Amino acid sequence: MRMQNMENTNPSPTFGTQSSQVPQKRRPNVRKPLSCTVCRQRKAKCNRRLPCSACEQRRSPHLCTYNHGSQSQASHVSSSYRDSLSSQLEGLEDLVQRHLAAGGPRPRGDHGACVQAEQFSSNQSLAMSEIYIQPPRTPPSQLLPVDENSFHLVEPVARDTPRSGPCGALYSSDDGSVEYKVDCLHWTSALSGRNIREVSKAEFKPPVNKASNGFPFHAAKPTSIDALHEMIPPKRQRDYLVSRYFASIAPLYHILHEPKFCEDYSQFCRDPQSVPLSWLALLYVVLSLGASALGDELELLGQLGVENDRLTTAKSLSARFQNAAMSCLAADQFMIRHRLSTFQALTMLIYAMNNSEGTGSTWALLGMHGKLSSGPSVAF
Amino acid sequence: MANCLVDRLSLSNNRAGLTVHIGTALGCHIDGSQLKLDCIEAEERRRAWAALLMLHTIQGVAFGKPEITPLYRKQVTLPADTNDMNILRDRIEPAPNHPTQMTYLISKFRLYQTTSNVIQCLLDNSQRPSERLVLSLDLQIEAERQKWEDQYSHDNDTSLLQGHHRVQYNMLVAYSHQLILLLYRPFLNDNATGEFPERVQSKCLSSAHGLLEIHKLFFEDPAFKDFRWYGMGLGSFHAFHGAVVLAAILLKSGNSDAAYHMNRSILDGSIQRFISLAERSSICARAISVLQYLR
Repeated sequence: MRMQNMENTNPSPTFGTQSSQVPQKRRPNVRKPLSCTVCRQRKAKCNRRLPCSACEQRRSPHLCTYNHGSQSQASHVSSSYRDSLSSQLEGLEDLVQRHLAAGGPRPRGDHGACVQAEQFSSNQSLAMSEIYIQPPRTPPSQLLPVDENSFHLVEPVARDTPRSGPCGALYSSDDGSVEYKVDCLHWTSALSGRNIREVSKAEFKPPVNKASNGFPFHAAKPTSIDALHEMIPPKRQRDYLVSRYFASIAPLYHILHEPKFCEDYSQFCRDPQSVPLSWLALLYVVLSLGASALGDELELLGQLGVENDRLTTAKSLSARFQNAAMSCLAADQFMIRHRLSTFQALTMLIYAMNNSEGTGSTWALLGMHGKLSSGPSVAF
Repeated sequence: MANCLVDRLSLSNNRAGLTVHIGTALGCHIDGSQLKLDCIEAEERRRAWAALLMLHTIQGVAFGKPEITPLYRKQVTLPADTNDMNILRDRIEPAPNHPTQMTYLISKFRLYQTTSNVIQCLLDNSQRPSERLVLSLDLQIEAERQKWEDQYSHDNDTSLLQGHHRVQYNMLVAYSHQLILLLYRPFLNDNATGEFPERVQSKCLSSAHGLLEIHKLFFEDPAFKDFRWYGMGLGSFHAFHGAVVLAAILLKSGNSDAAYHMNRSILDGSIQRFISLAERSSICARAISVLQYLR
């Protein structure tokens, strides 16, 4: 029924022009507008889709409507549709309120604390137009001068600029893993008050396939937590490698917030077992990158390495830390549980792997191969 | 060998793809300001997301797929151009002076938009791009360079830069040189005369010189010492690109004039440097035989 409604009101550009009922009496040929209402008002070029690209660019896809057929018919259909939508909306808002009163999941607030239920409720009771996931509005001057086909991040704007309400929120579980959920897709709210028992998270645990957790990393063997800590070098060498990271790598790939990392690092030094495995993975990546930037520090390498040849030592040291990072991520089940440090560790690990001799040269060499075979190539 | 390289690259590409999905699951595709996070975490998310998209772009380019998929057309704010110490839990303060710790990454991120356009232009045209298109992309690259100069120069003089800022500035310039070489490559072997072919020649020559000069800095300038790991990797690849173009120009030109001898000695110098680095850098080791053959 609802689908039918949708179809009736769906103003596809061809809908109005290809009438299935041949008119008995030929009426005067009035040219029907093909562009959407907004583009017609603005006298702008319209690609006649729904929503059209111009409305999308203006970030107002919900305003994109077409006026096909006679005026009276269009308004008749849309008003009935509007009525059905507003009654659905009222029903949904009611369900959300009841669900909140029953104590549903709360999104994470500032500093990990829970936000007040009232605030959540105001987020939830979105007006219908806001159900479109709307990106924040940015003045055109703050957009990068690129064509519409390329992606763009927005230039930094004043942080206190009010933005449209979030379309989702972060939820953290007891084990510290974080998940982003889109609010308007929470159908659990529709179940409350309907005599359906809510399935608690504990009952609904996804089946864990231990063997495949490491994919696509090679860490099939389950590693004990102690074994993961064993590969950490002694404090003096460790401090040195971390400082090498901040001196040689961070200026070119500044991902971590240095004071925060140092805070976490001193916490780790006080109690190595207290940090989550994903942070340990991050530490290993930092050590690996620090080791890859080592030059002639023979003394340090002598204490850490197994090989006599210092070049092989630096490379193998870096590779060893990379493997340790992968083991930590695998042991942390990074495919199903993630924290921000999981994401940071992975991003930096890819950078480390691409830069280390071997895979790093593959990029460059791939470019080289393309170059020599007269294709365009670039390696950054 | 090429297949093997592509396999290894595609593994790396798969990892980047996986990481994009994990980032999305963590909500990194949504700006931190919308997620009620403290400023430090919001900023860390922006940085990691921007850095990952950069890795993804690079690999897309390597596979001949420079256009960005709709997945990334999300509105995430670029990381703030400020120093770590100015990012506090409750606010982000503007940096007192530039460049900041983030200037390099942000500049490089911007350059990738231009890179994407250049590569797209080269891949889209089965014949060769129009001169007009090439010149407009050249202007884009020039505009990026101008921005770096504004960001990095002290009293309008980039030669006064100190420490790693000088390294960063030179690395950005090296990227732009490589882009110029790629952009003009389809025209380099033309034997025609006129304003445009002469421009091609002089642009390629100056970018090739620039790349080799910067490569030299990595191993001779004390400020670059901490970044030799880069000079032996990607830095050497850029220099190799410059050296190949220089060799191609030498093969084309007559061998009598003074410019020929100067270019010849620059090329010889770079080959010597590649030889001295061969033990530590596999790129240099492979570059030697190619360059000696071209010479």
